[in-house]
Amino acid sequence: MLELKKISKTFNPGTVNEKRALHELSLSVPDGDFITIIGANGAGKSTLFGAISGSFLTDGGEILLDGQDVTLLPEYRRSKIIGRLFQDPMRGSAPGMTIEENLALAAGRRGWLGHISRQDRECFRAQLRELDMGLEDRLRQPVGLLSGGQRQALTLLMATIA
Amino acid sequence: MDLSSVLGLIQTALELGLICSVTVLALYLSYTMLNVCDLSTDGCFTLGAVTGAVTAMAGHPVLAVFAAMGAGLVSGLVVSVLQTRMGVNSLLAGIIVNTALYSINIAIMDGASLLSLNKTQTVFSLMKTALAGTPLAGQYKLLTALAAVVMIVLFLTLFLRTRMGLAIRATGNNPDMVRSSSINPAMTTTVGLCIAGSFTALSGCLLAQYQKAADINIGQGMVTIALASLLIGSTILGRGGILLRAVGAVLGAVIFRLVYTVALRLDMPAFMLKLVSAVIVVLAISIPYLKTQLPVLRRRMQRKAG
Repeated sequence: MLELKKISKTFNPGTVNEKRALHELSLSVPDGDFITIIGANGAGKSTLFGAISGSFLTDGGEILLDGQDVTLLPEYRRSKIIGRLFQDPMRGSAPGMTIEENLALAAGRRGWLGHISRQDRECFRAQLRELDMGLEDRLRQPVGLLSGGQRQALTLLMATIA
Repeated sequence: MDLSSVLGLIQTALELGLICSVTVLALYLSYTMLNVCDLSTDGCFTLGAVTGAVTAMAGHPVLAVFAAMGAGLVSGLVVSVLQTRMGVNSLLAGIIVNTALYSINIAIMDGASLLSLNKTQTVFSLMKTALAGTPLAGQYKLLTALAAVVMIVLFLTLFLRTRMGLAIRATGNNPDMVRSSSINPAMTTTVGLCIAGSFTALSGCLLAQYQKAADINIGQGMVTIALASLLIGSTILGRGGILLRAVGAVLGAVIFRLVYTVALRLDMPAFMLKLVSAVIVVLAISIPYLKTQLPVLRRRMQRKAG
């Protein structure tokens, strides 16, 4: 259950460019819901996602996830409990590193000093096969060689693999 | 010039190249992997040299190595705290720490600007005693430097494949992705810079013990020299894996020293070293860029002509 309680966000307050993107917005999302948000350009869709994932601190209000108050939790900590895909396919993966290295980083199974094991590789291969893009045979290739669509699919896998 | 003196020159170049390659490996971590240009390198190198020299003069040449590395680690920690927790620009953080280290280094030398290790035991003299009587006895300097380099290269290749290593590489590559993998990029930057700092200081410590002297200017220009070596290395072995690129960094340092030695023999004055390294860095960074610009230029010329 995700709950937003009266969250507000105003960009560039007090200037001519002031933009009130969110104003005391409340929203509750029960488990298992699939939600699509539609709005005109500048309506605040991205701001809403930024607020939930912690890209910035909201001006007011509270954000609760399963009862836990995450309003002040920094982005990198929130990402442990919130998976997220960026609009830009280039932002979600490290181009200079290989597919398996990106997946290993996202999965984070073996502690800070762990190496990628054969078992990990098998698991990555199995999951990549489901994407049906032939990526399972390219584990050791740098992600920078993939197309935008392939990278976004990989990022989706990375967001859900943990 | 006879053969033995040529071999002697090559030998010295090899030894100095290996010692300086430890700094190059530090930049391999901070510059290549973490994408941070750590401008405190000069000061940190000197910090290692003087900390090591003072400890060795107190009669602990082996402890000196660890003392130097510890000092370098602290220096790296300060740089990283400035840039990750206090909002100081990363280049500026390095320059500030570099400036501060000048005073600290003189303070460590108790106000002197030169320390002589002529009558002091060093890791090199210990190795000499240990190897006495064996066929390798003459190569004690080379072997000491080589041992240090091999250990650092092995450490780096293992470390950069761990999850922490992957996180450090990803931080240099795409910090957004690191954050969304629930890793704090401030933490990975801190770990990376601390390790790089300890390597740089180790390099300084070894150079001081090697040349039996540490002075306040021992590290001056080191960041440019090391960067030049790193870039030479990456042109030779740039497209390989982590190990190959680390070996390339070492190779770059040795080649740089060899070229420098040859230039000296051709009567280039010693003070030109830093100009030469500056030119190498500029060329190595700009040539790939200029290459991409070349087709545009050519097309423009054609249009003008046509």
